Amino acid sequence: MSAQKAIAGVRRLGKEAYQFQFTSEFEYIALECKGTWRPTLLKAVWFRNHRKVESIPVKWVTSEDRGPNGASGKAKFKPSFSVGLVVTLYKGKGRDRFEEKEYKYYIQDVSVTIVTCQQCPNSAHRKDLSLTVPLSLPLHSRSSSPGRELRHKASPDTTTSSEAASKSTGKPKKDKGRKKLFGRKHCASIESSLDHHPEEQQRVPLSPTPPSPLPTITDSSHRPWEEMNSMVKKLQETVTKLENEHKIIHASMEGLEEEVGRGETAAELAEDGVEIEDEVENGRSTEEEKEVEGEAGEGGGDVSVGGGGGGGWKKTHIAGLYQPPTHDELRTLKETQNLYQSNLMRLQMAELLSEVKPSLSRGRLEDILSSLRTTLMSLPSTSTVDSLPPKVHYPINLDPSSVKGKFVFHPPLAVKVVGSYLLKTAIKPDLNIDLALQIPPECLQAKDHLNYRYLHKRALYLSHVAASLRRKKAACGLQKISSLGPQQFIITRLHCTVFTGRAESRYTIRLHTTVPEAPWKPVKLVPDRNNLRPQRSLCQLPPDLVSLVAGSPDCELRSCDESECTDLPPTPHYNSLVLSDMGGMERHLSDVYAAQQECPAMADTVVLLRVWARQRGLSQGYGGFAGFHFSLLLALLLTQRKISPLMSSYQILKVALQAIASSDWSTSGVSMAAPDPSLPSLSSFHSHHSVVFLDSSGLLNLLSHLSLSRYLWLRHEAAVGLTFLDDTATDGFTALFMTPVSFELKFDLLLHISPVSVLHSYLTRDANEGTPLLLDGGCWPLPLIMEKLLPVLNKGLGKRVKLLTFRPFQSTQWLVSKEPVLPCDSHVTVGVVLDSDHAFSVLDMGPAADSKQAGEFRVFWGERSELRRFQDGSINEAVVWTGGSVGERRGVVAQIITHLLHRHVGVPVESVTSSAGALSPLLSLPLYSNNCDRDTSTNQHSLVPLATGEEEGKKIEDEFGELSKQLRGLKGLPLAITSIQGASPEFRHCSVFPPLAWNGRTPRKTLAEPSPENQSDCLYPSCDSATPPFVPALEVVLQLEGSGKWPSELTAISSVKTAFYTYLSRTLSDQCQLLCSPTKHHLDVLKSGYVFRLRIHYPRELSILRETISAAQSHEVSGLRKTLATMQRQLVDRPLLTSILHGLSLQYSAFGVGARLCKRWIAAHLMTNHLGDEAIELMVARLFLQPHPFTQPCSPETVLLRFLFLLSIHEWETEPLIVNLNNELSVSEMAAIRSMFTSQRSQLPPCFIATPLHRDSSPLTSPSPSFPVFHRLCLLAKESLGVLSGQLISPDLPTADIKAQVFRTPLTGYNVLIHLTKKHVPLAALAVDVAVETGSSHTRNSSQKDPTHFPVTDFNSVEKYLAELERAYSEFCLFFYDKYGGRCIAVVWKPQAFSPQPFKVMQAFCKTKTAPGKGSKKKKKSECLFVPDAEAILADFQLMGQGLVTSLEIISEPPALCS
Amino acid sequence: MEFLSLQVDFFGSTTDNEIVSTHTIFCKKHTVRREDPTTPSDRTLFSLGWPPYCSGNQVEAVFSRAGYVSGTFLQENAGQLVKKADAEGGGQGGRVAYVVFSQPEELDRALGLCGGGEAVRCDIGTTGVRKWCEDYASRRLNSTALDTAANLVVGQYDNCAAYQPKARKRLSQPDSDGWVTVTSRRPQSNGPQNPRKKKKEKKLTNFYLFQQRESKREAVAELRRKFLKDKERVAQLRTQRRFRPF
Repeated sequence: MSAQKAIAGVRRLGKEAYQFQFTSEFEYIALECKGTWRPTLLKAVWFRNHRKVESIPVKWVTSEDRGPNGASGKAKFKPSFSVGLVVTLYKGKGRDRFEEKEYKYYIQDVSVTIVTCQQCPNSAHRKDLSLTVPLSLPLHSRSSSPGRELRHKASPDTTTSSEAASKSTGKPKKDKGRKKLFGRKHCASIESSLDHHPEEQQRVPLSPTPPSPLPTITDSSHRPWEEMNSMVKKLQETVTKLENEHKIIHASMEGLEEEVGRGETAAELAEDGVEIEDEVENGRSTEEEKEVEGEAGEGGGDVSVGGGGGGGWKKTHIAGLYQPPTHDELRTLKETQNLYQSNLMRLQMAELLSEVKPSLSRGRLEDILSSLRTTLMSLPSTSTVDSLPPKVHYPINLDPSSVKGKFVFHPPLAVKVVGSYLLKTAIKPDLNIDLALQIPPECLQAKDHLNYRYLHKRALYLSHVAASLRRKKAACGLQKISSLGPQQFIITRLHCTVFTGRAESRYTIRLHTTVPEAPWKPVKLVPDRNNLRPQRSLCQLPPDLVSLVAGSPDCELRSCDESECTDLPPTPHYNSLVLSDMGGMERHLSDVYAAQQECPAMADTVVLLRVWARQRGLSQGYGGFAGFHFSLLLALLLTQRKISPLMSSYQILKVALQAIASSDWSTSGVSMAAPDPSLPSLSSFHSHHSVVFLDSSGLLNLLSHLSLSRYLWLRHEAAVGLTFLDDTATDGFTALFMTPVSFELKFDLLLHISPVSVLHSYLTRDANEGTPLLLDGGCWPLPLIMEKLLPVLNKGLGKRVKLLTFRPFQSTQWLVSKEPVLPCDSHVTVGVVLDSDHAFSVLDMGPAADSKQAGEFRVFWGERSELRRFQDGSINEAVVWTGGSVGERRGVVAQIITHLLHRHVGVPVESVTSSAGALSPLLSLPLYSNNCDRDTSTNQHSLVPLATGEEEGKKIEDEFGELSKQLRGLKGLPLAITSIQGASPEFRHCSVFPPLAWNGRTPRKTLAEPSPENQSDCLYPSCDSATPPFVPALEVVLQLEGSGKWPSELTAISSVKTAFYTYLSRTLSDQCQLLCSPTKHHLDVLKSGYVFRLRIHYPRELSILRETISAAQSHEVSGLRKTLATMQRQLVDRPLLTSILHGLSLQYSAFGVGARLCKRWIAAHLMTNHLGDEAIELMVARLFLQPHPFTQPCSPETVLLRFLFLLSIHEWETEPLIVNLNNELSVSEMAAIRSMFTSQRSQLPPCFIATPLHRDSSPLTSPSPSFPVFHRLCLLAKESLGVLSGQLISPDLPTADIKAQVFRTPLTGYNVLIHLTKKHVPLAALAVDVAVETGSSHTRNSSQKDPTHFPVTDFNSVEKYLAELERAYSEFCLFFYDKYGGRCIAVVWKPQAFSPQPFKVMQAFCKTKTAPGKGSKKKKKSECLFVPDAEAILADFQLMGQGLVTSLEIISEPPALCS
Repeated sequence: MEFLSLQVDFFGSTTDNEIVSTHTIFCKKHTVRREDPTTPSDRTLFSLGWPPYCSGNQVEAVFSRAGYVSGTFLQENAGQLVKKADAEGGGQGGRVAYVVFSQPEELDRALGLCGGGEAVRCDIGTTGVRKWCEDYASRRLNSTALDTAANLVVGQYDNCAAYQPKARKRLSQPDSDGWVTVTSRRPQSNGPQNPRKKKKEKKLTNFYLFQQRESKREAVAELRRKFLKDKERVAQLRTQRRFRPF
């Protein structure tokens, strides 16, 4: 019998399959060991996928024992261990060999004795010595006679060597196979080839010895090159094979296609075709659909041929999903996976592109352009021009009187369209068409590149064009010639606006000048050359600027006019300005065009990048990163082969972002030019420009006007963008392209330097530096000064900041008839992204006092540097900043920047204002407002924020820790306490005002005498005088160890708990001397002035309650449900959330303080009783866990801004807010939440927050806020965001009233205000606007005496009043209150409650008959209608709040009464 | 039967200037299909619209002019009588009152009072800050009082619990006729039950060819499903004009 007789397989698949039956037999294993290790029992295991056959363990018999030098022996299988296999082997068409298929045997040592070896003396070797012997069955299949011997030899590794022989009954044949040795620690896997490939031996990993030729098969003795334990194994195996008789169908995807693609399913295809066509009719025709439609059409064509045959798949209603995939469809699906992140990303990008790209109808535009071109070309030449044309103002600020040479006007040689219009990379709101006017050489003279002369001529030239166009405006089809505007002070171009139909497609035609064949050589304009001779050029600048440097004695004007003067300072920026007009635009166009021809997806990517940059403000203003920069960057990446022409726009985007993020153009720039020794080197560019990116000429630095700070910002944004593009859990598309990233939201700290003139003093400090800066920067040297400042600031700040940048200067435009407008920013804004790990340290450690760098350090820091002795004994230079409290430390970076600006530029301290601590007053307790004078002595007074209560929060945490220790240490408790968890905001650093310790004294007059029957040591509030000082209770949840003795009835459980409270109270006062006050439902413990409220959580209680609810009658259920919800929240959710958020507050320093600020804001808008603490904290947590498109905020101001931003921008109606605490939710789980949300939107609360704790419900935000309340909140957030960001971005920040509109809510929208008396509002001192004297009630008393009585705890009349009101009247009105010192409760009537209704038993409360008015006459007489009795309700408000309510202020009548 | 309305002037007595709140109380004779012995229909008045600060005392005071009130049941909703819930912060107040008179004719007198159209004055007792202070004091009992109360409840429960097995034992004995009452009884468990983890079913998912084929088809179908879903979502976003970046 032989394999050749096997029936031929399925030829059509291109493969032949054969099935064989083998029987393999083991006879013996020979082992050689080294060292003292000996196995006792060995076992052979046969493995394949899930199948496993084991032999019985056999004994290993030592044949030779050499003591410590090893041993050899054999283990024999009697009877031999045989395994029968049925194997399918495949063979390619026309090939004679079968495809490789491996089966494996493992030899295991199952000795039970624990043995030791040299390598790991402590480990048992039971499994470590597994040995694998793979069999390559295809080889056996070829032998026709059954029974061969096969010898396997595994080559030795560091510890073991093995040899295996397999014997078959026929002719011996060598087998090619792989063997593996498994070892946990010291056995490396090895690969060997027995017969022909001895060189593979060298690939043995971890081999410490040099490889040597493989010994012969018969040689099984000890090998001299082995240094460690060796194990030799012999395996005998008999393989017999039987012929098979089965045909195998190879089921692969190709097979599927081939078998079924022909007609069998043509019917299905046709049906699906219809379906899809329907969809297309619905108005959608994306590319993909067209493709599918095409396929379906083909399929449909075959219906008549193959109709209904076969019946391959079941027809179901989702047959469309199960139809056999066509090749193209598979390709599309696969392509989406490979080329784009997801379908959604692909579709969204397509939508975005169609939205921002201008429409293609260009007919009218082309007409205008061509008529403009003819007009321009036919402008009349003039002879010498001295005067400007009428009605056109000279567009640059230089003095033209001293310019040498003469100017004549000739029409342009050529008018070319350049830029994004032709490349189709323009984006919608700013559509530009750039026209390059080629100035004829006759207009220019040989040395016009010197001393601003070219700029003058260009200005004159464009003025002439402007004047002529103004006359012929209508003829050219231009609507308006608006401005002759620069981007910078000396870049001049003409803007003409064209309306083409709709306003959104308004094009601006920009006229640029170009001189490709200038009468001077481009080489003269490389960055290290001087082209502005001070003598000539300075006099052209505005005199007020020149006076800054001219006064200094060093500025001697040398007489080297016109001639080359090498020792003059270079003028790199001016050079590149002139150079860019020398054919640069045309060159860039052709470069980009060539690249786009090669890689068509590039255009889309440029559009995407432009959108991305625009959202971040990277492309706007002076020195932006414009669209053509992106185009050229992509062209460069294409030439570098980092982009392949086959890539999709998404992939190119990723590559581009990656390239920007990993680039370092400030130290190693890039060049598009081919290397050429004649060109200046990159290093020469680096010495004059901060960012270097040369174009294909090799002479022009494209980024000469991009400041270093802007480049660093760009790089930072690219790196940030990449992270969320990679992260599939976030919506990368929205974050990258759709969310605007404004300056004030992006940066943690904003500093304003105002007025800008203080920075000009930099020029006066050193004339050698000042004069070239002034010349090179022309009338506007500010950007260059900032460029010089950046390294100083970065050096001083070091690791404290992640990014420091300047807010872009706005470019200006003006009408041609008006005077040019210089960039008139009144102030410079510095934005800083902080690194929270380092930013708040108060110490800058310098070098050792005796080191050489010490002097340098002292020079850098000036008088702030001082010698300090440190704990390790070293004496170093150091700078110590003011920062006693956490709040003050937040201002350290601002202090440093102010100091550096003062020291290195001479900016007066008072000209620098910062946003650090701008909002701290809202968090500081009234107590501290007295202490703020403490720091007036230091000159940084304005920067020192007030203490913001972090220290108090820390103190509470410490006390809690100590209390936990005491609780755990209690002796004699019936059940031990297993867990102690805090549940109040104080325990997660999120309490707006962390309470101060009670000083042990409560004014006697505020207390009541206890009734005689109630003799406990508590104090009681009195109703006659003011409320005693508020002592809040800090919630703590205890869990006890499990016990079977708990009762199983709710009241009994509750009583057992009470009994436990009283017991615990006695124990605590006995063992720890703590004052305690047990009540029925909790135990209050006074510890160091803080009251901790302990509750016991018994998990079984909740489940019993649930069972009771399911068994209870309907009228009892609602009450029980309420109890359950309260218990669940109090005992389970809050402690859990507290521990998670506490972790978050430790991880991110701004979390706690930011959350406090946000809560304060919510409260200030009277929403405390609508949006709970936890919900706000979760929203804030989201800002840290998914900060996209920003990075984690580091200052409270940023947190508040982004919180408002989140509230106002999040699509609450269509998107759930997922807060992925602890990263517990996977991507698929989040998708499940989203789909659940979409399907059940109407049942879910308007503000839906999903967390790992609550995935499909949002208990923290339901039932309140209701929709109108939440809607109002979002509107308020939007308004506040606008006001607050406006205040933070303006330099008069410290004088601005930050509370004005952001923290003072308008009261006009409410119907009724319930004014409360101050003496019963316990937190009145915390109000936003509070008179200074009220702070006195909250003083921290230094003399704390031991209290003898328990204080009045958690007694807040207003909250009780509010709760009663809400319980009784929530069907008629909404109540709004600010729990931090609000002095009035605002009431809004519910309009729907006031519509007249017929009498109903369930709604018979506070109703009165409607007055017989006009409306009721139409109704039937018998039917009386009822409306709420507003008068009675208002009287009730007063009755219920007796003693608390002073007056009711009715702002507007209830809705029904108004009408 | 029609509801009769009764005007009640609730007034606060503690303040300097008296505040009066006039409420309309709707009354009628109590009639239900299934009668509760505590509220017999011939003697019980069903009234609606009591303000939240009203306790049983006030209701009693209003109707005592009609006769001797033997019981008042004040609760949130009409329907079955609710036993006093022992919830924290729960307590008095309710909108619906069942007033039980001692004689049926007193009920008629009360109904006559309602029809009279003349307002009844009622003192509301303590409210506002005074009430909250009293509440605070009543909650701070000393520990001995708390202990006694708790022990009482626990003792009762223990008695019950001790009685239960006996009762069950008695049930399992044959009674005089030789019958045994058989009840189903769930095993009592203490502590949270952890649901027993189901053993993972060992099943080969890609053993047979048809399984492999199915899984491949399913994969393709899944891709398509996702694609369609995404397309829907984008269309939805488009209708919300969510693709305007600026």
